[in-house]
Amino acid sequence: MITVAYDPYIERAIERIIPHLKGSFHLSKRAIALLLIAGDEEITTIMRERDRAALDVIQESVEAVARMYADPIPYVLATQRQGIVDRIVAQSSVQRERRLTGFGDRLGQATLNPVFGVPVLILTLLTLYLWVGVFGAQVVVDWLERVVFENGINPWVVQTVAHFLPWPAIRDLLAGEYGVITLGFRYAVAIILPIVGTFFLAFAIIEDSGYLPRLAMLIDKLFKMIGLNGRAVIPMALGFGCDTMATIVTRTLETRRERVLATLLLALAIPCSAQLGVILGVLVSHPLALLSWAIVVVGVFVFVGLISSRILPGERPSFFMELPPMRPPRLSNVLLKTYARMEWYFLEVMPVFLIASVLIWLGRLTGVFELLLAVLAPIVRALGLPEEAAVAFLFGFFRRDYGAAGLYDLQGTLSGVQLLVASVTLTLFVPCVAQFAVMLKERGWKVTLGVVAFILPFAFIVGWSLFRVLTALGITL
Amino acid sequence: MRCSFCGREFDPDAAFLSCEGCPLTGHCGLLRCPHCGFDNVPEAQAIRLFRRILARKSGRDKVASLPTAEAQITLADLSPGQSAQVIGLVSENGGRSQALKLVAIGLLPGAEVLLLRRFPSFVFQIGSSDFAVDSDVAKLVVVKPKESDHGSRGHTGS
Repeated sequence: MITVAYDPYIERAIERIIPHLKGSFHLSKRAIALLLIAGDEEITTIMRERDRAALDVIQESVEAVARMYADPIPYVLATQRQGIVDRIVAQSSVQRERRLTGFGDRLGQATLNPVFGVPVLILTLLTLYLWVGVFGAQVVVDWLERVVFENGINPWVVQTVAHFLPWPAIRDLLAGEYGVITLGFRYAVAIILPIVGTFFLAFAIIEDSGYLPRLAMLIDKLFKMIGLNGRAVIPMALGFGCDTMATIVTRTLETRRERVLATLLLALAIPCSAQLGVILGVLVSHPLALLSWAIVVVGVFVFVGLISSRILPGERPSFFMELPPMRPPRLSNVLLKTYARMEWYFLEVMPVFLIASVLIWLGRLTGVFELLLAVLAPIVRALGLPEEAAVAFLFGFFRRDYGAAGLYDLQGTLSGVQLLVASVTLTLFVPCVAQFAVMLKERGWKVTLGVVAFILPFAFIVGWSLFRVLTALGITL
Repeated sequence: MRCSFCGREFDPDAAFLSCEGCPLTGHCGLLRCPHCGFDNVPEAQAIRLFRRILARKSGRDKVASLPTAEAQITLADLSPGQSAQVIGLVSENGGRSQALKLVAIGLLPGAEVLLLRRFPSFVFQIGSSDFAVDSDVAKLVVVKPKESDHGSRGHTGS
């Protein structure tokens, strides 16, 4: 450990402050004294709560030392520390000429330039789509659904249950149309897991390559228009994986205003990987509908961002970020990260799916489910959808992707326009149970209720307008 | 706010100080001008909101134009590939919290910085690290440019 020796004035102030610090602080008393001298708000607040009288004495010493310098104290401390660092570095290291020769360096430079950066971004997104949307959401999901579940597990479960359990209600709970195993377990394993897994793997590679800060730098000017700064690219990009996790990550934004804005946009217009994958899978047979879906959702994102950044009070965001060099990610680290995230997701998602299955079973048994469906039916009909789609919307309350997965089952019976309207509404629709809980925890109930009160009617209004405009123009997709 | 009778400026939050001697108690919804004693009707919330939407652009310029930085050369005035020595940081007008962050990465008097690009954000090198900032932050760093020192890093960016 190195103890930095500061100016005599500062050293004397430290000596005078230390005797007034009583109890434990988790840090050395010297460090606490220095933080107090630098005017650190957190420590000052802690001291004020703990020992008002001591703080008054300490602040006298702090003010006395501040008078000795023309510059602000944090600046003085940093200068003195930097001086010591420079001396140590000069004594102990040899500086080699920094050259840009490697592929990573050249790629790193190219991504900073909009002329190359934008094509690189499009290429990245395209690769991500092919990997998650086509390979994960179609190839793997198809195989798991058709081969493993429909021909393997489901018939076996239905048979076994029919053989051993004489009560139809219990039979339904396990293996009925909305059964714990036949629906909950199947959705979680066959539809969600492959999509989330492929996304998390790709995201870990992107994250470890050092690409995200470059993306933040590239996009900062655009994000300023919607009241955010480039830094918000990280929660937003993560939102395409899991909005719940992304809502937690909005902590990295500096102002409360930015956090509220990011939370709203995540809840409204960023589909999570599970939902995205299912929607891609549903709309892939109607390319025009897929394109319109993307345009509408991006449009809503920009529109709501523009409006709310003008309405919400608060200071303008500023952008500041280190650009680490681009490096090839380490395989072991990528795999470990993907595994940890998948485990977290699976542990979080599985109970919710199973509980949702049980709730639906309970709801059906008691008639509550039918009642809710009857309430939703007119809304669903207003969107030009068959009443069966109400089930998908009801599922959407439990999990976003759960709802979208319900749409997957209806795929064959709906027209292009209907699929588009349903996908748009489900994308904008309420956040899932887990995201809702995290929003409550991170933003408080006021903001959360405000966000939900805005999103619910808004999602249906957008869906309804879309349906009306498309039918009025006689467009089929 | 500006008093609509005498036209002088006063702080609406401090207006209650001039309420002494008035028979109305609290929350009368009026703001008494401390200069002339005229009871002003405060602007309605809805109007203020609407005004804020319209006035966003001009409000933004006020933040960006730091009077002390204007006269000096800042990081934002360098061209890509140009290096400079840091003279100091502008810390008034809300720049303080930003300035503290810049201090923490070593942007101190005498430090050498190299501007790598200006668009879409400012990217500069200090020591062996690169940082990206927006123009508002770049304007906080007052520098002294070095003469004819181009391309020390082999590329200038475009």
